[in-house]
Amino acid sequence: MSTERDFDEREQREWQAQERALRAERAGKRSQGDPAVAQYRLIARALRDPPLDPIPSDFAVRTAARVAGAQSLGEQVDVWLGRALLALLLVAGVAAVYLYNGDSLREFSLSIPERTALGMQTLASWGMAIAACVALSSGFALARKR
Amino acid sequence: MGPGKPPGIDDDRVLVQAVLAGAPGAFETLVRDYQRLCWHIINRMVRHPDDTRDLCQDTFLRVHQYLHQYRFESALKSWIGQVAYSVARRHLERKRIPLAEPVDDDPWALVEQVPDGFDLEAASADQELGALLRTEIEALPPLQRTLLTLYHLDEVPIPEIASITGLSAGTIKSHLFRCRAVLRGRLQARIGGTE
Repeated sequence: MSTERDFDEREQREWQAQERALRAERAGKRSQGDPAVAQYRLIARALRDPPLDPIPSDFAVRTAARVAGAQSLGEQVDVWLGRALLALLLVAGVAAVYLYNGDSLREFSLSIPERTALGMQTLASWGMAIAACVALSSGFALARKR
Repeated sequence: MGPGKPPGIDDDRVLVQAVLAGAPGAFETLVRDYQRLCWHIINRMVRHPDDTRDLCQDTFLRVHQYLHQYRFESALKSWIGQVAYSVARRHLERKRIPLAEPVDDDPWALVEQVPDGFDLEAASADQELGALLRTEIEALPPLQRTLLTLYHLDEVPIPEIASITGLSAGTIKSHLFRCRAVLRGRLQARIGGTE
């Protein structure tokens, strides 16, 4: 909600009285006799002593402990996520060997140039799979930090 | 802030680096240094001790989580204040409590009747007047209550309040002016009514 506008002369005088009262109250000066400033001093006194609930004495200790707990949980999640990704990679590898076993055996009967081409293709596929795993893992780590 | 001199920008830098490096006790020190400001902002906005405690903890959890993004472009106090203010504002939005409502009274109607004299000390000792002012202050909308507390109790300058709340300095000045004038109008009405 915007209430911004310039003060007119009358408002400027009132603002000055409010600010004089605030400064006098902070400095603990004696009242100078201006009734408007004196009234604002009474208001400033009340505003410096609002009905606030007290801060629990162990608030900082408890908050730091909660943060440490959350951090340790986060670290555990990171470790488990890393292990899960590694396990997934191994399972994918075993599955690939199982599924393409026949092809890889047949590979031995291929001529050398053909075998080289197929080997490069397999290497590229594995490279992409590993890169995807690393990217996924880094993505998770980055998302957790944010 | 805790008792004594508030932390300066260099103290903040050392503290932030210590927290980021995971130094033992560093985060607890940060909480201790800024819990008062955080508590005041949230308590004045939500006015419920349990909600205040939970939201203050959430604030410091966020501070810890995002501290690596803090670039020392504003004082750490303002940065933490911003987080506290936004946490409290979201809480009010979820509860559908309006953050700021216009203070309807026309302060000039009563303020212009300047009294001949005003005995400040006698008025301070008058418990009825004290209770009236407290009631009127508590009846203000959350935003106005918070601005007045930051300015009067925490002695936060207007530009820094602007950085905490995201409001312009002119808007904050206008809220402060109007609320104090309305409070004076109501005080004047009570004094006029009892005399």
